[in-house]
Amino acid sequence: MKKRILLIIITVINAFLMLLLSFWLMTLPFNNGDELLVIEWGSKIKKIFLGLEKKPSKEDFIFINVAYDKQLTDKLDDNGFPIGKQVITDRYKLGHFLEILGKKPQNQKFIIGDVFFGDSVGLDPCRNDSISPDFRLYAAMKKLPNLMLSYHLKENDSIDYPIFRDIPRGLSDYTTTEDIFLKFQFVKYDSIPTLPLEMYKFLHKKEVKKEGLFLLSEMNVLLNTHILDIKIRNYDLFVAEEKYKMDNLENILSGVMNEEAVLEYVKDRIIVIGDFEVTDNHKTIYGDTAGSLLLVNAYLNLRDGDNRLTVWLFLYLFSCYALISYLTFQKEKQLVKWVQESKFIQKIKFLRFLRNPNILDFVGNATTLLLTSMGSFLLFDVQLGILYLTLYLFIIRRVAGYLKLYE
Amino acid sequence: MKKISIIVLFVLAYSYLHAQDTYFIQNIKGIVKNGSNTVKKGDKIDATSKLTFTKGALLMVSSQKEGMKILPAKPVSSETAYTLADLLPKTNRASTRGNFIQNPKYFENYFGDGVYCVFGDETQVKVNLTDYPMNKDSYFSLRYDYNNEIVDKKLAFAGDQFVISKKELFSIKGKDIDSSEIAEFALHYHSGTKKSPNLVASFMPLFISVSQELKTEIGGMVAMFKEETPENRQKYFNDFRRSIATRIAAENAQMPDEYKENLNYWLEKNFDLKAE
Repeated sequence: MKKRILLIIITVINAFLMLLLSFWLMTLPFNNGDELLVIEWGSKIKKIFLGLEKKPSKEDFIFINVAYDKQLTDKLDDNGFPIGKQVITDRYKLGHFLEILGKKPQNQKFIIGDVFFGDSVGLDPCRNDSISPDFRLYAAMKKLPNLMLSYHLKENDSIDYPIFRDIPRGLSDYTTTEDIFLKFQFVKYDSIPTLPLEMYKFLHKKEVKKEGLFLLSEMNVLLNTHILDIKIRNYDLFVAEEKYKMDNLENILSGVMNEEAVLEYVKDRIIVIGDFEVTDNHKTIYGDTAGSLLLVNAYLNLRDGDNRLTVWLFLYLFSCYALISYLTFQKEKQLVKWVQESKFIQKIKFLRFLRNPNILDFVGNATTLLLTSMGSFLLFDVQLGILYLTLYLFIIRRVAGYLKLYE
Repeated sequence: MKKISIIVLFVLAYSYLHAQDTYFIQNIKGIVKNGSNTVKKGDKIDATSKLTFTKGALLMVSSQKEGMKILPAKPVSSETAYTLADLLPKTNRASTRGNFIQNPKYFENYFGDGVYCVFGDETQVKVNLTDYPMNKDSYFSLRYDYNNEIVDKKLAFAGDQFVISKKELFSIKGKDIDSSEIAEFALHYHSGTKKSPNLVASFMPLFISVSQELKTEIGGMVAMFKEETPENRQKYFNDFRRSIATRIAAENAQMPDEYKENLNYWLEKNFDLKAE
């Protein structure tokens, strides 16, 4: 009887430990590569094949593609000497566009400038410039309080500031697992907020603070690192019958629309300026996705509370982990026994490896954890990424065996 | 009479869904009409507009509701099909086409049933005289509707070639007419032994003027590879031919993506450059 009570106590403690480990794993910027396939196909089946998703409103955004709006400018070496030319996003066009927007700064909800302004551009004698395009652009930006620029970290993790230092900005870097983007971290290195987080704070007038592994917003606990639910995908911009509103900057400034028409064109929308086609595409579980779209999706995840830890999710995970713990502390796992005695598995040559109790234990743990993860995705739309717990369960069972804690 | 394919957009279901939408015309390839007016870059139309497209014609518009759109819209695959298609191996397809009309079955291939681009002001089309003898009683004509009148233009010929001339085609009783008013052209063969003419092809001739700069550039290129061996010359010609068509298309926004053209004839006439 005493042993049974001890087992219940150990099961509960272990379930809590697994819960903490899960949250810790969820905060890691990377994921187990083997879990990618499950996450990918789980997402595709639910969202695409079964259509179980609610798309964000198409009225909220306009995506402005600057992939082909380029200009040549001097490339300077570390000492500031010109060593050739480089291609950058056309600052004349951007300046012109932002000048138009600046005539009615509140006409549009918000402007994401996902264009990195790394180097200065000087006067172009061919254009008879009397003022640098950078000054013109800067002056236009200053009239737009709802504009935010993206910036990046250098390879040594120091900040690569844009040349326009006093324009609001947010980090737009993310990490990948096996070259595939999966998780988004809203605050990097404890204190560097990303653009989606800053945008969320601006648009919803909410305070969000990082506390330990989590973010706190009012009474809500949010995951700082989150497997992003990519709600707006490249398909929705380029292929779908009812596309999200997107246009090329070239078209908007072609002169076909006058300034009033341009303002009407973007009215009450979040304007996302970025390269949606050429240089800023990232591999995701849904195929190539523009970097600017990932920022928008990260914002949407925050807005929709997708990374919020709810009581129901907590209870679900605790129940699953309690059950897994209970099975882990059984002297003889029923599954192991069944497989080892199964004539079917004995007949099939390539499944015979499962008769090894250690391998079978490992595979069994991985399966139950993946099922837990899939359940969480189906019920709460939260992808967990907890496959590393397989190793923990493998070790804890052996420790329990050593301490003779089995029932 | 076989008609040039016309696609009518917007007037039904589409206009119901997007009745309040405004479209700014950003670019045009081919010929698109809004009612009886030819659509031009910079026009503003609404979703209830009744548009007609010649085959291969395209419109790039900025829609107040949906942003940039290409019309006519291509059929859209569902995201499921799109995702699954990504898993399938990719295959390529190659095609060939003849240069000159050797027998009746090549007419359609030669002119297609969309836009036929004539580089310069006229072109000559070689035919097989056994199938299509040309003389006083037997000849080709291009027929079109202009201001509700049927105009049947007899095409001049010399030897085994008939001539399509811009000046001849677009003038009535010595007066030039507005070619944009004409929606379709039908090529007929009149046989001296039959009462009614045979329709052999329908297409929209589009006369393209090539800039002097491009002509000078092509002339320079032709001179460069005249010294080459026959094998190399043939290889260069094949590559060169495609790049010239692309360059001419880039100079002329009204050329649709899909068209047939008289490039070989034009190269031979202007540069004495024959396809070997």
